[in-house]
Amino acid sequence: VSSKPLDLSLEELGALPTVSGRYATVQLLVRLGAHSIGSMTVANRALDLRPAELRRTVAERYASALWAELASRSWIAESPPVEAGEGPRISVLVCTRNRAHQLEECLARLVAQRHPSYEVIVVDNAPLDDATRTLAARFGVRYVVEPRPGLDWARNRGLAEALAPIVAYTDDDARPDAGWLVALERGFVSEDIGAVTGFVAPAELETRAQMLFERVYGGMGKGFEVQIFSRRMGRATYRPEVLGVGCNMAYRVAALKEIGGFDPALDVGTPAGGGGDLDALQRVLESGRAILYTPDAIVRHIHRPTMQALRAQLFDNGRAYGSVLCASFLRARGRNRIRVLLRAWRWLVQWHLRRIARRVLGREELPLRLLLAELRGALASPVYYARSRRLARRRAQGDA
Amino acid sequence: MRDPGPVKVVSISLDERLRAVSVDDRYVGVLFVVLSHGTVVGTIRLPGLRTFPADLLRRLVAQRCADALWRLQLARTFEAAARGIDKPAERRAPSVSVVVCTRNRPDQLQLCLESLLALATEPLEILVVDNAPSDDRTREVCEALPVRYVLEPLPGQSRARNRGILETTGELVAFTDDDCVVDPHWLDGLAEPFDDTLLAAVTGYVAPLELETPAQIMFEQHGGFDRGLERQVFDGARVSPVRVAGRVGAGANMILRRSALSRAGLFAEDLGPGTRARAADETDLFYRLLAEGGRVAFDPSRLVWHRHRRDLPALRRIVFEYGVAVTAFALRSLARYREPAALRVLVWWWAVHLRRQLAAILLRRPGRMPFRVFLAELGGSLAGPWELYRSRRSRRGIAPLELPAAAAAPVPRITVSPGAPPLSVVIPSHDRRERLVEVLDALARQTYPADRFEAVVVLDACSDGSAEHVRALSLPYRLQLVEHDARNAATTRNRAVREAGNPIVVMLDDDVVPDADALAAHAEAHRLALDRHAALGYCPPFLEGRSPWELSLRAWWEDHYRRRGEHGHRWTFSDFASANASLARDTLLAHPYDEEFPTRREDWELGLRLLEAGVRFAPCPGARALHYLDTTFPTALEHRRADGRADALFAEKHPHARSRLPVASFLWSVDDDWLHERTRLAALDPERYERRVHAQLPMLDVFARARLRGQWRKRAGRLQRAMYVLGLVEALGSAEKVNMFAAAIFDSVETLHVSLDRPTSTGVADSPGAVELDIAAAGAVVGRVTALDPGTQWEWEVVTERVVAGLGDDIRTALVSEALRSPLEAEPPDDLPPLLELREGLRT
Repeated sequence: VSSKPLDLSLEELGALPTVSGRYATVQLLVRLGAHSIGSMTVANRALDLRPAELRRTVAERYASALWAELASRSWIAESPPVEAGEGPRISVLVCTRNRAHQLEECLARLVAQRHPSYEVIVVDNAPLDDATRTLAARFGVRYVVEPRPGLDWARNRGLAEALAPIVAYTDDDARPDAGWLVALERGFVSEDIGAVTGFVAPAELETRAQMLFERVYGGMGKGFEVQIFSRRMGRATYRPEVLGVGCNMAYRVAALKEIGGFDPALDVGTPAGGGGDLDALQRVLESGRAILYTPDAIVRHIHRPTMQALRAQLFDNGRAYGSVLCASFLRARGRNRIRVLLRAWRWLVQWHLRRIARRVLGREELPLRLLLAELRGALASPVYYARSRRLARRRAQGDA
Repeated sequence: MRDPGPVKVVSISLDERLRAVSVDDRYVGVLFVVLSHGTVVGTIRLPGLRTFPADLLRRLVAQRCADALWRLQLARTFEAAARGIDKPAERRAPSVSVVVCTRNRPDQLQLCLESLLALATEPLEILVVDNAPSDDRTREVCEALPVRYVLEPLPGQSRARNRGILETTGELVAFTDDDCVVDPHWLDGLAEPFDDTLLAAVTGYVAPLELETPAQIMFEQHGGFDRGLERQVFDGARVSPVRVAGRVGAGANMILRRSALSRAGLFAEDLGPGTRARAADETDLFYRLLAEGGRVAFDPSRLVWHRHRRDLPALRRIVFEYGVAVTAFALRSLARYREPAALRVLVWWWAVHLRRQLAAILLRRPGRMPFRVFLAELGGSLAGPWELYRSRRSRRGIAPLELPAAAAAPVPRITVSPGAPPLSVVIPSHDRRERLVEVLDALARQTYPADRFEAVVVLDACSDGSAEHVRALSLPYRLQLVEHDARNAATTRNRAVREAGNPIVVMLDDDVVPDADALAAHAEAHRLALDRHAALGYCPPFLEGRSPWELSLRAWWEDHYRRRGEHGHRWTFSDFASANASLARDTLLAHPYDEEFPTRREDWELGLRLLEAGVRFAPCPGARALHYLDTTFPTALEHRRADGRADALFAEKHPHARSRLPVASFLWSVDDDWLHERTRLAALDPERYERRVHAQLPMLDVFARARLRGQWRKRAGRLQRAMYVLGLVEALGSAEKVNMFAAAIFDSVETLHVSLDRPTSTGVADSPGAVELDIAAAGAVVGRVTALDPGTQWEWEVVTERVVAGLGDDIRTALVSEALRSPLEAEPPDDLPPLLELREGLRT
């Protein structure tokens, strides 16, 4: 059973485009001006989608948020426009590898951003052919090659190439919204904000794997409230997964350089299988800077379409998160080491074992194969991370 | 303990445009206190950023405070739409004296006094009571500022507060502490709440002034002074005074009515800081105010900023003191006021509160208190009884301060104009010899010249020698004494009116003792307005006792008079009470009392006919007469039965007004099954039914004596309703007829329409019947609420709350849905509907 994700802009609320009958439901991302309000699923029946009824449904569901939004419009004047300086204000970095067909759509969205002053850099990671270079040339965006395989190598390469004081990262399988960069840049409200992350919505929900990932596993969205994370108040926490996702994050270049960029021992292309984004966000937080999450910066992401690919991804998620915890453990000192261990313990019990137990009792929808794949990745993650570190050291030496 | 670092406290007001907030780098967090129309609508705790731009603040406030803001806005809009938008009449604001008790904290006192001197509503006086100081610094601070200084050498905050009350003269006494800073609007708009004559105190919101140290942050995290964000009125006639006394407010922010203090007494001098019992002096006072049947309102728009203790030892001390105070207060209430509910407070404290704290510590839950702080609290709780004993012993032989016997408040005298009409005072009486003589004596003391009025006393079947007693009096005015044997209040009044010789008739009762210028006020009312109108005086109820029955009776009458004087009040027949009303004699002759109503409802029935004949009602607050209520509960049960009979007759005589009669409200809201069962039993064997009701009276008495007010109220209400049903059955004849009668009434239930889209200047009428309110928003009716419960009177505050709680979500949905219909523009249009416009004035 598939679903069609659509944007629902309340500014010009007319009838929705006709949606093919093979979709049982429509997943609406409700937006008001530059703000995203919420996400709701409605049945794909012509009757329900008449404007009047749609309006009523939306109003019922989001009465509180919408009233607050409408009533608060006059509280302030519009925020002042940012003055243009030398060069671009924000650099967008897309790291890719041999997926020109995916990248094309992504670049099309990136060159159409509403932002007045930005550059796009495609970082081609150990490419096997010229397709990406040709594509970049066609869109007229900057192109650099990072020969060492590994997403974090590519991210660091992009960081070195960026001209702007802010870098925004996205993936080749992501579809940024036209207002994405504007919203991300607006998130840097104060100089002590090191990173801004945004909302990730599904680009398509065609297959069972995609539905499972979005609806059951939890997808990549982090809710519809602005949040500020900081280490300054309260204790150290080790839950980087609440901070954001790699396909929708932006950093202050200074902040990222201060923490030494991304950890090349992590993420895709290494035995760790991922986690470079979470690790960098976690380290930004540890460096004393704050992270702001804004639901207004929207990226749509194409989830893995097949069950096989989903299983591989969950395995990767397991070892990636475990590797991030390993990295945190090695970095932490004193009591914080115990906190990392506690976090790891809770993750194992509350995330993995509990869901497996629920599955056995029939109260969990995610197939056991997937759950076990993630658990396998999790349990093996220290080994993977150790191998990953060795590999990263070797590649770094090769570089020198 | 780890230092969490200081948190900056910032207040942001939505009544002006939001501005960016900059926060110093040393703060690890920010606590935003969000205000709208001067009311706290929420607090937002965030990690510290150097800058919070206006746009982010707007977003955060909209996220976190949306629901509180919505309720506030809806309540305001509803009141405007339902009661009319014209401004309420200018009221005479009561005079306020501010009292600050202090001890050796001149620096903080200085800040406090500066904030008091900047109050928007200037108080009558500001008094500093210096409590057993060890040096002269406080005196020096006070001498430099325009405030009064008084020294109280005996230590104890309660003693100092009492000294402050004795030294000041304002009708209200506002207390704050020396470690507080008050909001400039702290004392604004006190006239309206204190219009409620039963309101004894107003308390307000206490926010942290700073959160610089771990101790301050911990104090705030463990509840601080948090009392919620909703305006609440605690009514001593309805709640258990012991159990709510600790929740109604804080001593750092309270405004007391002096006359309530003269009834309830001053602060207990063996409680409070500076005594061994350490605290709870205000809790005990709140208890007594409530137990007297008074009301205490918590109003989050009265804001005081409190500087919590900075160091951890001080925090431990406070927690220890708190433990002592709770135990001491509960034990003292148990021993002294014989309040069984105090046991529940103790049980709650030990079995719930302390256990929870301990569990949080043992399970290492977030937000737990440090173990040493918990130990301090436990220690305090254990030490409570001993400390209370020590405290009482230390006060032995020291006479507590007392308010001098209340000198009669100086009321503006009503001058008698030469053109004032001559009056006839008619007094029907039945076997109330002493009271009647008192009434006649009071008439002899009138400022109105004795040759301008006469008194007509009609004795109805008196067997106590009233006639001889009255004849024995020598009175300065002309007195006509008539005796007859009608045993009917309506007939007696009609007879008296016929005997009256003067053009204006003032109706009194044999238990209504007028003040010296009551007649002058009546005469003046009729001199100024020559048209046919009824001037309705004010009869404050006078009751000796404090039983639940007496408290509820007093509350009913006080509410009745307050409601009549409210802004935008629409007059209905139920406002007409014969006692202390004056009308033209011709009007009364043309519209006599209906003699078919022998004891009850005769005045409402007349009121209905008068209103329909175009007679205007007008309040005449200057005509004040003390109403001696001696109705016991068993008598009241008989009254309810007579009410039932009279209401059935009333509805039969005035079928067009049926749905507005109290019987409609009664039938509308009682449970159908209950009603069927009662009517069946009452019709089957009325005598047995009555016996069964009366058999429960002794138990009711036990509840009253044991001060189990909730139980008493529940059962008393049930008995009264049962007797009312008996009256209905007696009047209508059978159970089936009662059911048919009820069905007929349901068909004609009155519905009032209130539109929230465009406030009108008139508003809707209040009404004593089974009224339903239809609420329309965004052009369509959203829903309906029932406005009244049986036996209660129209209360705007209750109606508003019902609309907000019952329909708030639906109204908001309708409104948002409507707003989405039109294309939304970037800039909001100029004529937003009132529910979307949070502030007036900002746009202009």
